[in-house]
Amino acid sequence: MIQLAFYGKGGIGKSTTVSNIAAALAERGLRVVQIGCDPKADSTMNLCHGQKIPTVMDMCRKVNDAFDLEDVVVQSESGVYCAETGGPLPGVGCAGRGVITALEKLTEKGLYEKLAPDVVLYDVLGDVVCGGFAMPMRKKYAQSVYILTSGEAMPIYAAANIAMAVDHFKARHYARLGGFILNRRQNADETQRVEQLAQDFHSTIVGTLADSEMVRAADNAHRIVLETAADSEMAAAYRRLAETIYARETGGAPC
Amino acid sequence: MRQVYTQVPCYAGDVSGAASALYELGGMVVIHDPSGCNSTYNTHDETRWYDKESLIFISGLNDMDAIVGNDEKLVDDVVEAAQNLHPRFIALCNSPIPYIIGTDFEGLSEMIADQTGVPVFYIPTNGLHDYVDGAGRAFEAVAEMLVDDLGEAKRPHSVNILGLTPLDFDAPGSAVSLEQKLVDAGWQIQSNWALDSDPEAICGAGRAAVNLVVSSTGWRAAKVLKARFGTPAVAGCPVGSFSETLFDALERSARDGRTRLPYLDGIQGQPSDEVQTAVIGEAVQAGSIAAACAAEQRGPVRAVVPTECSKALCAGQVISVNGEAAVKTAVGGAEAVMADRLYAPLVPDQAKLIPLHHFAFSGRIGYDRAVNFFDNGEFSNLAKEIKNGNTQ
Repeated sequence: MIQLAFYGKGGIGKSTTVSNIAAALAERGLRVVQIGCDPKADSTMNLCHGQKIPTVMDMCRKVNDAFDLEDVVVQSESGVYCAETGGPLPGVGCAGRGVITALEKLTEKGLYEKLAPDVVLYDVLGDVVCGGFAMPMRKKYAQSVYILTSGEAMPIYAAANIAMAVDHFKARHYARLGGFILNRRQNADETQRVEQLAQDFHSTIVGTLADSEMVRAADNAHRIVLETAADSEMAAAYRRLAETIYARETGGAPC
Repeated sequence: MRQVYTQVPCYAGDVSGAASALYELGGMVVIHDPSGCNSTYNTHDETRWYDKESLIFISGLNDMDAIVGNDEKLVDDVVEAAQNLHPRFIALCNSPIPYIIGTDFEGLSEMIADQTGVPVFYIPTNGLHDYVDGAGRAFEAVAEMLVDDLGEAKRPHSVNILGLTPLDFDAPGSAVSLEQKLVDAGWQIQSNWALDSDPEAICGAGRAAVNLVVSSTGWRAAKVLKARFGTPAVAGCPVGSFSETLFDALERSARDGRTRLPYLDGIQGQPSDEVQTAVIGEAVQAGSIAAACAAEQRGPVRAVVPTECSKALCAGQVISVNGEAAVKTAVGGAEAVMADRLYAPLVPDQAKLIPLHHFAFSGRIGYDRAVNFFDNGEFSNLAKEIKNGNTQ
């Protein structure tokens, strides 16, 4: 089993990208779990065609511990097992603690044994704002962190902060930095800027995704590109990215 | 009201349980908690505090360290202390504040281990459970981390005693009496977890032929030792007439490798809707006393368990309860109730209270009258009190 966490500035396209990667890996016959780690609970919405699935924290709020794994995991049409940590109601409670509790609950409910996934993808809220949002990169969870960014100043600033957090947590034996994913926005010099960022952290760009109207159209329809335009160049780009990451994490094994 | 306590105290907390379990093992126990809390965990809840030294520390967490996530301060302090004091191991215990903010103790343990070269483990206490949970998790960690994988053959007729802390066995001489009873029955003591204990012997616990679990606090460790070394467990305390049954179960488990809970068998088949004698306390201890009573009297007997414990340890007439109302219901109709004196408000008017001091419940209140029930004479007096209704 490989476990990967995806971070990046809010709105940069993490959920869209992770969902397409998940579906691409599932297409290859792998058992894939995608866990949204954000109180908004919208990571898997496109995989589930706009349907909001019950979150772990929803269940905790309603019935405390009296629920089963099946109550919070939904398999999408594309074959991906989807879960959302959820969180407290906006403005109250502690969102980071919610992520910790939700991931612990999924473990207690047997997600890793019952589903026996080949790949688990954690799609994490914009930044490592507190200990809770570092949970997916802790030792028992992701082995590598991938950071999405465009070439604009603020996404690069956020990406650098996340990469510094990953570096800081090395002493705790957390996940390593897997690399950067460039999500183009048609800005000048964006490739050079992100290449420089990767170089600063002794890392690399593992994939580049084009700025595509096709992606926005799929998002608006609450679908993924692998479903709305399965034979398109954009879908092929997601498949290539999934294959690249899988090969990097497995020492070269094709998926 | 359900699940509340207004007339009797609650039991010692999980951190006290962890500290008590590890007290004699030569390690350094660090509780990440505000300064001052050591009084609760040790001076109040630890009978050995004034007589026997142990490296138990509070980190002195303050509000700003918690808010800004100053985990390195804890790491630096622990590393410095370990370099000066050379403990056999370091155990980090959680408490309510770091639990709520999600401090990553497993990651911090890795950092401390890397910097000191000392084995470090995390006891996931949080102040929201009772001592059984904390001591149980501490013994579980000991079984995982400190017991050597020797690969040597089992020592025939040898036994580990698991779950022996003064929170449950508070009378002076309890450990000596228990060990002597086992020796008299033909057993060699491999290790004792962990009262008047030898840490070196615990490292060799994998060699024992069988584990004797004398309280719920030893149950998690028993499961680890079963998984690591295949050692079967028998849960029960050798008290009164139940002793022979327990020793027989030890013999059989050492032979066939099966885990047994003979105290449950001892009071099996009792009518479920009536009770003559009720014993309130920790599951294995109360269950064993109830089994001894059942063997010596005709009326129905019941053990009432307000402490946390595994479901496996409570069945039939060993009843797990939560809250005063549930305790009252469980002892309702009893003619005699054996329990700590502070349970008096919950004992039915017609019933006689036979006092059985429980340190995890009442601490030093009445501690001078604690009973060593592994001593045949003292337990015999208790049995007579039940029979005669003598409640002095």
